[in-house]
Amino acid sequence: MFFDYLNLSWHSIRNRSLRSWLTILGVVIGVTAIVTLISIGQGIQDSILREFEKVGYNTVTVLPGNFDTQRGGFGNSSADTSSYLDRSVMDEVDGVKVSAAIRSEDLQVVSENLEGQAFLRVSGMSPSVLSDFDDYFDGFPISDGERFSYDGDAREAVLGPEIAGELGVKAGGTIEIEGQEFTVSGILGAEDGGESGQFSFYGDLDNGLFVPLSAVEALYGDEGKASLVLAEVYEDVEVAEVADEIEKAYSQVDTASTTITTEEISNRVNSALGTIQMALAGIAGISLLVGGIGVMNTMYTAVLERTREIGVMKAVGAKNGQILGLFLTESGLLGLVGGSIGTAVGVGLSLLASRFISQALEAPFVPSFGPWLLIGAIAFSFVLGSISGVLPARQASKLQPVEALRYE
Amino acid sequence: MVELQNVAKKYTMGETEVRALRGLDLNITKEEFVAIVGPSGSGKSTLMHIIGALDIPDEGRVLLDGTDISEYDENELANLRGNKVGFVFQTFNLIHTLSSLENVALPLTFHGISKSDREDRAAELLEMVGLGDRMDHKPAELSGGEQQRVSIARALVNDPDILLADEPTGNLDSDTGKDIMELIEGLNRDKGMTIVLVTHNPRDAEYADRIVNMIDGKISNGEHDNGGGS
Repeated sequence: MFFDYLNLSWHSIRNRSLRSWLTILGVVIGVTAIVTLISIGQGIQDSILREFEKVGYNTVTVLPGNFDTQRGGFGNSSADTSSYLDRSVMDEVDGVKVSAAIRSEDLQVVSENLEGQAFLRVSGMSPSVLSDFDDYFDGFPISDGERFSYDGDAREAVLGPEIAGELGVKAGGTIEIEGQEFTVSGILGAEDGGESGQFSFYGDLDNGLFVPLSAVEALYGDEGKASLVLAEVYEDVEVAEVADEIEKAYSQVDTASTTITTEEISNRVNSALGTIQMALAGIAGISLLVGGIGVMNTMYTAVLERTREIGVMKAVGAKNGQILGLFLTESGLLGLVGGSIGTAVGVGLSLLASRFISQALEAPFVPSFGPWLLIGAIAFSFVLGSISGVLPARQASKLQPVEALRYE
Repeated sequence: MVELQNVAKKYTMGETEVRALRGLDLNITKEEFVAIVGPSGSGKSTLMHIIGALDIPDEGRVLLDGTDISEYDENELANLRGNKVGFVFQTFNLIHTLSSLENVALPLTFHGISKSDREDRAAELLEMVGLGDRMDHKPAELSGGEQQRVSIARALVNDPDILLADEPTGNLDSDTGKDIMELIEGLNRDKGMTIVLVTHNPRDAEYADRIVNMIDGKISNGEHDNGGGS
């Protein structure tokens, strides 16, 4: 029965070819917008989540003070730098497998090729930062040279590509920090020599200036101070509980601390992205609504034009419900064709857009097409078309056969 | 077969109320060929609509095989039309997007009959009306006479008890009209089909067993036995 309706509908859609295609176009535009926006939004969300996965959900970040965690990259944050954390407190917290310390200070930096001097954020990293938490820095990729050797109290530095450019140094060159000479052991960046670009937990790696923790401590002449502590907890413990334990341990030594778990951030990022995505989808939904109104308009016209035909069908025994079904199938079919084309165009468009997004982000980006998105978009278009056809189809089904036959 | 008792029907056209039927009695027996004649506006078409279960009367009773259908709801009427009645219209009323075969098979679609059975039956009828070689043609590719043959085939596809023809030759030239009338007459003569023909063409009415004259929504006393086909 349904296939008979489909066949009849197909005949009449083809018969008013131009009008049908224009109606379908309205649906295509709406579906294209939705598929494109959602697949790109989902792609962004996925790539961010992949970063979280890399860092691992069993990492706890500890900051001194009661820190506002809303900002994002901790390395760039304006946390209260006058207070520090003692990394060794971590050794007393159950559940912590390994921990690492970073001490960031604003220091005077001078280089041969830089006129004058600059005050730059210099981050001292304990050896375990790179051995256990390098994913926190997007893998700490070196494009030129190598990482610090942590060889005794060697004064070595790794620079982000942008800052290295400003300072005019390459791997093997030297800079002065607070009057002490440091060898540039490596420049950060992807292997192809481009900027690292990727989202990193730490924040902007391109402008980072990293040295061994011991070198910063030597400059200040004190030890055991960290502006950021990283902890990896054992697989079989609750990350949130360990985070609480860490805060408790610090409060016992009269240090205010704030812990952030990967899960917390990922939830927050997810919900923020989700909201943006919903808003975009809502806007795209408006165009789909307009498409639906187009279907309704076309179906009303079709009912009017085919009044006699409806009369004939009723005269040969079609029941009201069958006429209703016939017109609903027809409007659903308009939606279905529009939805299928729109989905295909949307996929093409987001693949095209992803090339520009990749360029803009300077990182590979793939839009995400879940099967639910593709099937959902097509199914939804069919439903939308059918719903848009309800009122016209009801009108058709309720026509009196005698009057319909008399209609000129 | 069909019995109308004191049937009255009025409808409004614009702001005027038209009393199309004014207390009409009519009896059509099985295998009878009845022609209903009368001037325009005499209520012929309304009468045919009521006999064909397309409409129900405001007053009076319509008995089809002894069952009163004047209180039927829309779906019951649709069922009745689908099973017992075949319509042939002056303007053919074929669906122009469908081929001859599909047009003839259309009524069976609403009966949930399978596509292959529908098409077999439709092809059989198209052969019968002499259009075996025109099955895939769309109405626009057929002459008026051919279109009317398709519509007769469509009217017969559900194997109806009664065939209702409303001015079937009205849009045809006289030779073609004659062919169509002979086809209709043959259905009555050879297959015993009950036929009600509405016409204002006296020559068409000649084919009928009985001519019913209508005027002002009533049957005038001119009803007479025609003595069979010419």
